[in-house]
Amino acid sequence: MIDPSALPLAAATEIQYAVDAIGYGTVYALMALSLALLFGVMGLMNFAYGELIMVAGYTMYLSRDWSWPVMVIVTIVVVTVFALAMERLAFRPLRRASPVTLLVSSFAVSIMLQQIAYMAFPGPPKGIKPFSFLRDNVDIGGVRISHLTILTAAVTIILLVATTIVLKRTMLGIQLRASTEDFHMAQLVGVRANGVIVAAFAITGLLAGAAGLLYNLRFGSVTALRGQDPLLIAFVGGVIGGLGSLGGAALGGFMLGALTTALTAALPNNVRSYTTLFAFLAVIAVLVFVPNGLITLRVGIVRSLWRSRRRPPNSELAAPAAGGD
Amino acid sequence: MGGMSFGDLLRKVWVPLALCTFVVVTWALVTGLAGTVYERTLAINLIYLVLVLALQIFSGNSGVLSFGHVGFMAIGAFVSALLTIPEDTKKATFLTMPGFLDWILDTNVGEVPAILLGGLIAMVFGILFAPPIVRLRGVQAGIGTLAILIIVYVFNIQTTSITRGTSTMIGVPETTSTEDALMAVLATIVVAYFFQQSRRGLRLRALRENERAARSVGVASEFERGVAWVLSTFIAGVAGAIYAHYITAFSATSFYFDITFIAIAMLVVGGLTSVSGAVFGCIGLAVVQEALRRFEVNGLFGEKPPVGIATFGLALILLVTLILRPRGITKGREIPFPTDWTWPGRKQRATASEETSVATAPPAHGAPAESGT
Repeated sequence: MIDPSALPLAAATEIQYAVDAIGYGTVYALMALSLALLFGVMGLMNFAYGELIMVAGYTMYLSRDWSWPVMVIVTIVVVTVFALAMERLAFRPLRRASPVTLLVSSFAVSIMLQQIAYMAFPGPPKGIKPFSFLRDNVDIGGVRISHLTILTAAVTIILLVATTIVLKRTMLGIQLRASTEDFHMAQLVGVRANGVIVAAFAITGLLAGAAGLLYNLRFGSVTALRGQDPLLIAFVGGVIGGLGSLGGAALGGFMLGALTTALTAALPNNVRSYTTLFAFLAVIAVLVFVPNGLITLRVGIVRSLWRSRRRPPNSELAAPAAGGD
Repeated sequence: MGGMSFGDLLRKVWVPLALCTFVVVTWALVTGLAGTVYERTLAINLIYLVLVLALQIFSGNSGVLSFGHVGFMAIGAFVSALLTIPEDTKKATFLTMPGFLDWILDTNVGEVPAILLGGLIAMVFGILFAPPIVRLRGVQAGIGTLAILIIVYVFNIQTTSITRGTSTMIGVPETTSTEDALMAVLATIVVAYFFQQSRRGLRLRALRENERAARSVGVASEFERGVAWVLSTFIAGVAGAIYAHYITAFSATSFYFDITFIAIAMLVVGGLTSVSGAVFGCIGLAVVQEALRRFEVNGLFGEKPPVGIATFGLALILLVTLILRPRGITKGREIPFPTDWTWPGRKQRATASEETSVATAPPAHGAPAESGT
């Protein structure tokens, strides 16, 4: 048991928690990034985003007998199609509506998708078959880390980097960032409104597909409400980090996601849940005192958006508090 | 005031009078024709109407949508239940009641005081949350109030020694009748309408139309929003207390996204900015929902839809309303006075209260002028 070359057991456990926390924190970072992107481009705080995670889960359930590369591709395609359908059917007709209208409509979309899932898959949670090579653990200096955790961390970090490159280096990314900064100005200089919005939904769909795959593999089953928890965590993290900035939101999502994962593993049930309470108190405090978010990184391209985006004349709905922009 | 004619007086009370008549007629029709089958649905939807009206008082007049009112409803429900459950039942049920709340076990204040105390305690929490909430607008206010809902929910789930968490409350006396719910609705309609028409309501609506302009003429935006917020949290608490004494079996999970969604759908579909919108939206969606539920349970022409169609239908109606008629079925207007009826499509008589909605893009022609009461 006591092997001087290995780490003490307690320390090993803590490292395991830390690795888990980092691995899954990045999943939440992906989700928060997607939320911030949609908020930036069209002022949409998309509560139906969690349902994309749920859709990924059910796709994995339906494709459980196929080989894993097929399952991965099918899941990502299906989730992206759902994201695009959402845009076309629900949010495009509301393009000119206020952010609050969009928020309410995303609630409606979220509930509709949940009810469709209830209707289509009644009964107990549906199982998802883990890929065989993900069941094993590797042993690094006495710390056992599952392949899934390593894969999760690797995939999400690659996706975060890839998204950053797309946003920073490609024409599409420049158009997206321009649109998040000032949608109307971007249109005036030739950015196609439908183009960027569809692109934003496609990117969030791809990211949700990947995040959904990794998230659902961890749970091993899917229910109609599977999307709620990750959505709330990503969303709170995004708000605390600053939904107005892509980098801030991603970092906020990462930190809250990592914290939640670590606390879930380390703390007894009741403490963990009172933590949620304090997280939401923190949300209110952040909204009031630092509406731009705690992490005002310079990589944030849409910092001022949270306060000043697309303020329609004669409406306070899109136009938050007084003060300079 | 002395010279007010009967016509003027009637005009002043027309809207609440018409709405109360409408609700009473609905109540009479349902109890008279449909019988006991629909009695429960009717009572619960009347209680929802109290909640929707509470939401209208704050959100309709201020233009700030709240997702948090069901949290205050929960507070009202638990306070009122704890103050009326028979002492013996309480002593047997709440074995781990924290010391400073021991006195609750020996207290039974009776139904009406308990309901009012439920509202008052909800209001106390409303006052506690008011300073941050009145500073928020738009999406941020939506998120902030949603945070309140989740905070109250998590607290109720976790604090099992007081709320029994996810377990059902035991021994809540069933003291609310459908008639009591009806009375509460009528009283709330009157309060909501006269609040909207008061100077305070006018100032708040001016803020909704154009905050900067209103502030520039001396309207204290945060204070005015705070008054409406506190009043509406009180009414939401009362709604919760009445609800508790009607259904008697409830737990912390009863007050979460489900009711929040229904209440917001009712208000937005009806038309956020008018009391009429709250009433028609609530009753209209209640009818639709009940029809879908019957369809869900009994089927139609031998076809049975899967369970879930009722909520799905509600969400679909909300989405379609937002797209096609974003100000709701009333367009945010009150019932016009009989002599003011115009043909559809003609220019309507401009009145003080009906012009914008939280659920719309603002009209292109700019702010309509606010006229006095």
